[in-house]
Amino acid sequence: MAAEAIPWSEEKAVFRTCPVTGLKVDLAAERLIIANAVAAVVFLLIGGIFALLLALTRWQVIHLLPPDWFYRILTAHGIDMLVAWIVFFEIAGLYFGGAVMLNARLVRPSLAWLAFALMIVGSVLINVIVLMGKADVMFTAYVPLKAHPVFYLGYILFAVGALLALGLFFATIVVAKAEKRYEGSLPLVVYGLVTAAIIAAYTLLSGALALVPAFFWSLGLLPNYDPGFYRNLFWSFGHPAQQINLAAMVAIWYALAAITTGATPLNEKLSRFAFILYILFINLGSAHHLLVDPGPGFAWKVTNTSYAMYLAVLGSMIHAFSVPAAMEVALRRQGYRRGLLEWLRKAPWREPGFSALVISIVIFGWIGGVTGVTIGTEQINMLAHNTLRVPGHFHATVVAGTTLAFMGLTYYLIPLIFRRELKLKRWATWQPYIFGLGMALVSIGFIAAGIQGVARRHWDITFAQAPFPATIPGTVHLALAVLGIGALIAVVGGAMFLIIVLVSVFTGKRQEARGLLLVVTPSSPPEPSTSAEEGEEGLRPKGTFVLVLAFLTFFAAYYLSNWWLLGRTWFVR
Amino acid sequence: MSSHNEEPKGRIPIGQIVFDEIFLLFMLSLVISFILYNVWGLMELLRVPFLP
Repeated sequence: MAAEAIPWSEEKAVFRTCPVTGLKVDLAAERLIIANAVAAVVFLLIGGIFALLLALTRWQVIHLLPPDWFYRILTAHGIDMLVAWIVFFEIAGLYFGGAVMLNARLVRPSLAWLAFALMIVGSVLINVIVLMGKADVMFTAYVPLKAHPVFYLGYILFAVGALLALGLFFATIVVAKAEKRYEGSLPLVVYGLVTAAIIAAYTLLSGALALVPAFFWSLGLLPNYDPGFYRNLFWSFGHPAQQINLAAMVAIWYALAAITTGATPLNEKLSRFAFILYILFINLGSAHHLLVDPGPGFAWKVTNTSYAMYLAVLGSMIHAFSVPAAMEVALRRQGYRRGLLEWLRKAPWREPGFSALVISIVIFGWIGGVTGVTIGTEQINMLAHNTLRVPGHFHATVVAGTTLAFMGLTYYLIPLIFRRELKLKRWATWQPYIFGLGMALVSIGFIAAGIQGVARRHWDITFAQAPFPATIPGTVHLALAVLGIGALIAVVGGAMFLIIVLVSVFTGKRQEARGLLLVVTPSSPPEPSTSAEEGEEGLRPKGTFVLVLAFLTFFAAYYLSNWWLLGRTWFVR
Repeated sequence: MSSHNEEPKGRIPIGQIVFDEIFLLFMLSLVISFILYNVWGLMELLRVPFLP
């Protein structure tokens, strides 16, 4: 049922009340959330098709694409996945967090549509010019590689649109406060989205600083563009762009934990502090990309990638404990208190939001996080730089971590925002496992090949025409086969997600949401616990503590083994 | 616990005020990132001598 809102200025908004959450949903915001989410899914589809072609080229036995198309598709894949899919979904998330979660109206929806149009035009321009073969420069477009001016123009239009959307998000929060739509502090999930938006502002401003001169340089209006300058500026766009994902993903972790288990943060102050560590320090991790550049000095590299960056890593460690611990306490509160891990065994594993959350946390932390911190260490970076270990790391973080979390949340947006019945529920139960398994294999295949020295971004890893023969161990082919098989499995998982979403949106019965959970129905109460497990003692997150200790042990083993490998490469006599 | 240690009712702790000042955090984020990463990094590049 729609009702008139109280106008704060000349703008009027019409709200409906969600029967499940009780939230008041601004219908203009709802339409924009749907538009941005649909655009995101479309680019996920395009980028996913490109991913399949690339994986079948990386798999040496198949080696599908010729060299020019390999670099062309790699360029489009990087931009569609790392920029278009992710940022469109994040904008949908920002409108959801800024307007819906605060019971507020979205400020100036007409400008939000302009932002959407700019982002669509920008991303379409990039795709077209890349597929025309006029911008085979890859996602990074390193100067002096020169693309067609339309390529840079597309990037700039997209960034302007995204900046406009960010401004509207912040304005919505300010107006929500002024209109007393919420009192006190922002909810934790919205706080996480604010963190993502703050990082995004720096990201997009840096992108403008890097790409506007590149645009003029491509037009011939700027005679020279120093590659070192470009690399510095580009990576304060390219790397923080992935930290936006991180902050948004963690916010979604908290949301999915609340939706699927009823979890509430154990210590909100600590969780907010962890987000502030991201806000203040995570952008400095951009220097990882320049660790082998000859221009910047040792002090700059180490300050940015170690001392400051580790503060942001501390933030991730806090979240990595807080989210599972909150779920453990919630499930123990429901009665699952036996031993260390009964709560985990009895958790709602068939609920897609829960499985997507857990798999996202596990692959993000155990593969993406551990490898990221390790290869971000200056000395170890000498071994890993520009090898396949790098895409192994970021496919674990951005694809298995962020994308899977976004997929998990999307299932709940279908009834809550699209107001459609979720179809193919059995598929939805299996999809996170299939996609997660595939992406784990992709990441492990990349990392295993990279550890053996295989270069990234190179069509011919055998260097067949090089003047010096390059020796590729046979185990590299095994690693790349694991990558290829993993990619096929992940593509099946990705296709399942797209089919579930499209079938639900286009054929699902139009209805108001009836409950938060999609698949799982409330189970029978567990058997009574023993007396020792009653009371507050039985609610402590002991299982999570043990799992975190196991994680830290694995982290230390991987990190130290890399120092051992480094010692085997350069002997100190 | 003595009464003078208790927070007056409704008083917001200073930490929460800082945490809630999202635009202060926004500015700090920009300043730290631009100075430590961009400005310092670009100055290091400017100090690299040109080839003779």
